[in-house]
Amino acid sequence: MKKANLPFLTSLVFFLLVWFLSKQSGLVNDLFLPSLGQLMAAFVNLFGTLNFSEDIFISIFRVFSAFLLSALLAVPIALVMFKYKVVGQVLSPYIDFIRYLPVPALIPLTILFFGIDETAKIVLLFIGTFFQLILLIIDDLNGIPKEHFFLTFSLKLNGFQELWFLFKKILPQIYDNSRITLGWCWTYVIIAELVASSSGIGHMIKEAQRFSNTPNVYAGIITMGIIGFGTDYLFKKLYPRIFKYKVTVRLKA
Amino acid sequence: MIKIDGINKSFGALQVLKDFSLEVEQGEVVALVGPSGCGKSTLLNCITGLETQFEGNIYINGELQKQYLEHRRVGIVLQKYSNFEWMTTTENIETAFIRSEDISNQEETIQGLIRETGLTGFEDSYINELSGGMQQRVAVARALAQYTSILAFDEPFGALDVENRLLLQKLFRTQVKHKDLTALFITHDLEEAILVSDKIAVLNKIPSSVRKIFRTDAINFDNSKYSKEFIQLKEQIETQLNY
Repeated sequence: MKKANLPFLTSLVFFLLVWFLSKQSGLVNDLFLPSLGQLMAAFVNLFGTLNFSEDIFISIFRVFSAFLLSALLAVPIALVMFKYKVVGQVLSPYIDFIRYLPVPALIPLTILFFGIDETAKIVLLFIGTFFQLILLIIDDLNGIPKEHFFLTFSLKLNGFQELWFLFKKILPQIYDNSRITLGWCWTYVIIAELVASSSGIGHMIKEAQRFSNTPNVYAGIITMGIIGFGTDYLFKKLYPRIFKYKVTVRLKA
Repeated sequence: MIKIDGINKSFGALQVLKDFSLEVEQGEVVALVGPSGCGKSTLLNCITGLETQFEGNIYINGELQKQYLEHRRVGIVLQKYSNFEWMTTTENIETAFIRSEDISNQEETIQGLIRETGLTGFEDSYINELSGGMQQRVAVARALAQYTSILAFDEPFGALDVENRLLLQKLFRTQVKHKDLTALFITHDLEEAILVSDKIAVLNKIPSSVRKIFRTDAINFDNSKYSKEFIQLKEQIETQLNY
């Protein structure tokens, strides 16, 4: 059986103890920090009567839709930009321009073009991740050792085969970058839901803040953290299954 | 055969190859030795088509190199990253046939090469599961499986231990002779150069050209490298290198 992460568990217990004691001593006002009991009650109330699971589902749907869309488009576009320099020369300045735009600044335009339904939020998340992902992938492609190109050249690959071999070469890095990009998606989805939404975790947090319901705000934040933690854990767990060739043991002979 | 006919190659103001000429006959191995940075790899890149900007002509099997490369390639083995890590041994060798029109005896060729390179039992192993020596054997097997009669090896065994090095040197030499291939072999190891080649071309510092050619075909793996002839030849080459 795998050993438990004792340092983490110890720190967690310590953290909860500090939280508990700070509340017991009356040092921190309920408005700033709920007690652990209030927090548990908030979770029960959110899931029991306020349909919080629907908010969670809709936020996850928005994040993964935008993430998949940006990954599906960014990977081939980055490969083509890398392989065909002229495409890179045309698109790079646009990408550099857009990637520096803060996503919240684009909210008015996305509402103007796409209204306030799901499309607007997914487009906003897409803009926030797509251009960054292209640059991350191109960076990975730039890191491929020159020997790979010598090798593919010697095999006389056609254009599509070359792109496929490039894709396969950097797939583990794309996978790692996807973890980073997914994190950004969570940041942007909350921004989008805080500003223009009637559902989602961000919306619930905004509503809780309006009524000074601090336990619900904490519950929303902790939920996002747990989802992020869980997703990251899943990514890490799946890595050795997807990339068996990366984690094999080399022979000594 | 390969005929390099007075080629010049510069990188900006730095001339690397100057009026460089060399001939490699069919079935012959020519080892290129010379000071570091003298343009050995650049020369190989010009021949294989990786480097396209140079003056002068290169002929492969009587054809201009550019024409030859339109329908064929040169089998390349490098010191590292010579395989595709996401593929198994067999899949790596199979890539030799990726653009080949004639794949009738593909399976037979691959199985034969796996046997000859001592990779039996490791057909389904990923590259990272193999030792350094085995990885280079896979690379050699793929180069030999390619539809080509020309091989270009750039310090292919430089990072291997003595045992694997000797094994692969013998394998390379045997296969080139058996299949009547034409090969260029870059190495910094004079003993390796003498053992695997029929001729050694000693190159000048840049701008590089051939300083002297030594015939080495009288020495092989059977007559020991401690023989008088071997030691004398090595000393002569060293003298040229230190000139």
